Amino acid sequence: MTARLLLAASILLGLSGAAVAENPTAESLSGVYPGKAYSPWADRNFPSLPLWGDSHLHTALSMDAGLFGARLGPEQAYRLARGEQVVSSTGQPVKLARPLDWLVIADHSDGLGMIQDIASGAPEIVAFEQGKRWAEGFEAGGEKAVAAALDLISAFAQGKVDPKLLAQYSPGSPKYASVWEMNVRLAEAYNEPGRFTTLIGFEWTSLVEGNNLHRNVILRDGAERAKEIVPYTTQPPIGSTDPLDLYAWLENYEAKTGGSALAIAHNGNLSNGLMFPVDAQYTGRPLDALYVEQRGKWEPLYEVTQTKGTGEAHPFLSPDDAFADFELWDVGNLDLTAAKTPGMLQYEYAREALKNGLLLEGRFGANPYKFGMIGSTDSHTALSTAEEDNFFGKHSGQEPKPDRMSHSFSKTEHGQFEGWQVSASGMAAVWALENTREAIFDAMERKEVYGTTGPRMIVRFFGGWSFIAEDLNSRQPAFLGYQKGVPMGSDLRPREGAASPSFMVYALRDPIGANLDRIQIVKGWLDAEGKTHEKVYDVAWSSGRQPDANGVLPPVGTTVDLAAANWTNTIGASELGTVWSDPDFDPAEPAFYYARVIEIPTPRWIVYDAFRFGVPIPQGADAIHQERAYTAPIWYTPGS
Amino acid sequence: MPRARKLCLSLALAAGLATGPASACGYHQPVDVERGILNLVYPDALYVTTAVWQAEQAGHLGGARPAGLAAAQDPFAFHGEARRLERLGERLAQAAPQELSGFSLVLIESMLWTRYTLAYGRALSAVHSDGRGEGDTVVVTHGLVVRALVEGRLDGERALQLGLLRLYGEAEDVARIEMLLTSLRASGS
Repeated sequence: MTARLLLAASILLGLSGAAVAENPTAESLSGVYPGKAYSPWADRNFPSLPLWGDSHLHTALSMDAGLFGARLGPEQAYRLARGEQVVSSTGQPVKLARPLDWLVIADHSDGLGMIQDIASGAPEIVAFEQGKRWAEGFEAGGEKAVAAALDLISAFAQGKVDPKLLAQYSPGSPKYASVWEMNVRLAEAYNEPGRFTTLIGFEWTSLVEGNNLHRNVILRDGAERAKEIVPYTTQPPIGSTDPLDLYAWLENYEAKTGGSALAIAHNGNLSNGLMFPVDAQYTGRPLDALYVEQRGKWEPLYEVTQTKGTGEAHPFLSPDDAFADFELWDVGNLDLTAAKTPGMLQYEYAREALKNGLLLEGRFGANPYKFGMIGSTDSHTALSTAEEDNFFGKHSGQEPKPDRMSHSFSKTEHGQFEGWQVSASGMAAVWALENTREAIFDAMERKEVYGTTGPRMIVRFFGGWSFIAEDLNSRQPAFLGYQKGVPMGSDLRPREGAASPSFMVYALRDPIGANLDRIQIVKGWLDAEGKTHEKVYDVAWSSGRQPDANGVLPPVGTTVDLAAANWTNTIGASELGTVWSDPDFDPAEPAFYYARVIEIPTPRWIVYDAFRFGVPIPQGADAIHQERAYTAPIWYTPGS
Repeated sequence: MPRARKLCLSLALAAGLATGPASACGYHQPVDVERGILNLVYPDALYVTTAVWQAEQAGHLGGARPAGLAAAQDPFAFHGEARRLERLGERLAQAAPQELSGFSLVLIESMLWTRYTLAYGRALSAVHSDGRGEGDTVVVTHGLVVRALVEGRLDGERALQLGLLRLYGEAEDVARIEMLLTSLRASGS
């Protein structure tokens, strides 16, 4: 016991990648635990709990949220997130099962705050013929309201908004600055370091012919620096839809304020092949060293799952992955003005991007797609709800009501998304040292994050060269994890003479959620011929099953009772963990590894709707799924 | 520009939030944007949607809910709805003591507007009107509420209490229309 305590104490500083003997001597322990406190958690320099948050929430200040009836602003959004009960835009009381630890209100920067002024006929609007027409149309209702809304939207999409009117709601105008200042002020008011963090941000809403290139911009800083700027927009002449221009804006923000910022790419599943270019950017300009360097620098994270589907993997790209077919939105681009073709998928999904990142690093010397994965909601209700049994929809028109699952979400001649397809997803887990803006941002920067489709399972993932099975027995895998290896989001440096890297992975189920089916490690690599590959390994699973002769692990089964909208934790495991070594490792091949943790089957939100409203589930709708977590990868680069 | 194309642009701006091809009446396609705008211009109009399903679950509305999409696709559904809206006008007119300024009623699920002019026991009901009449008080409700009111299964006062009818306009006009609505009595009450 003494030896074990000493061992735990010895690793509190978690020196990443340091080689340590299995039986430390007193000399070797000297200095690694400066406080010499009895508490094993005192003076530690690694995070002990993930902080849960949402990096992508819209309020009524976003034009589209307003057009769909959202009336809740940032204050209500913060109040709900920190655990209070609020009343939704459709008059329903709502409260989260558990508060969030942090929140980013990421309203669309273009037209920020404009929709409320149109609806109220504000002087800044009605002073212009176009604005007056819209305000009067809204007020009249019926055909006139629809015509006004479509005219407004069309004018925005075609760049035909009266430049003087647009200028009122664009960078450089007092009005725009005042809306931003209000957002910043509210973020300050609700920021409680140590308890609940409000990170200041916005969504840069780049849309190229309906293809989604949105990014959420997050600042590390508080009001003092945030007030020195206003959000970057996409409408010319001030804004741009080109990510390179966003990167320049971020660079300028840091230079001007001395602060720090980053961008998180929106789930790319609706970008129709533009989110992760390999050969040419959407502008037609070939990918070059500037692009790969800038993207890698400013985009450390990727939003892999949200209400508009999950974008980790696709069955077309990963036919051997039995779990790739999950919450897919793959019929078209964001506005369904163009159908999806199979050739686009390789430039939209995270796993493929991670693989292509290895390829591009070989070509340019930098990896543009070296990102950690998170989930966030992208809800347009000011309500960050990602719980299946407490889901308030994508937008206010989709808040709980009997017909929301059967009501078409979007539909054009190119395809359609049904209401039931909207996902109650996702969540971002950040391994931050403390609950502050700075610590959360820094964890994002170092990619020590993971995303889930809603549940709050705890996931640890470390890579190293000397992990052994006994390392998991400490009950504190992080202590040895940080000491003997590197955490999720890191680079595992090559080690001379090492046979194969080993990975310690541990998952504990959401305390009020479902048991775990399995943990998988997903590997991607680049071979000597410059071809990318992937393989999914089942590395830990609940008892009672063995892989068959082909190495396929049987399904865990299901306990879902659709009629009762319930399930039981009588299958699966409450925790899973293992130390796994890559049996196919080639030290000459660049590779990445990430963990995917899969829950036992549980009901989707539509099952709770069916139960509570007494309505049938639409034919063909997915009623049961297996929720999951995706860790940030650990990268191995030969010669690094 | 074709309407469908315009809609596509709407989706573009709306971050993927979409409706079907827009028309003013939900019997052709749902009109999510129009409903959203209604909630902006007439604050909390969407509360009616919640009040309706809550009233249904509590048994206040009685009768079975017509299947949502099936009703919208039913070519006779509109005629039935229009007839009920006219009957609502007739019932209100019986209680109208004098000429009232008109009011406009919108069904939140279909965004079907009806303009009423009531005077001395007579009603003029313009079903499928082009939005709110000039200067009208606006009544936001739901087709199931209208059905329950005209069939005598719900009285106006209770409907107001339950939030199944929400009124917007000048205070005096709102008070007059509220008074009128409370004159609707359920059978046996």
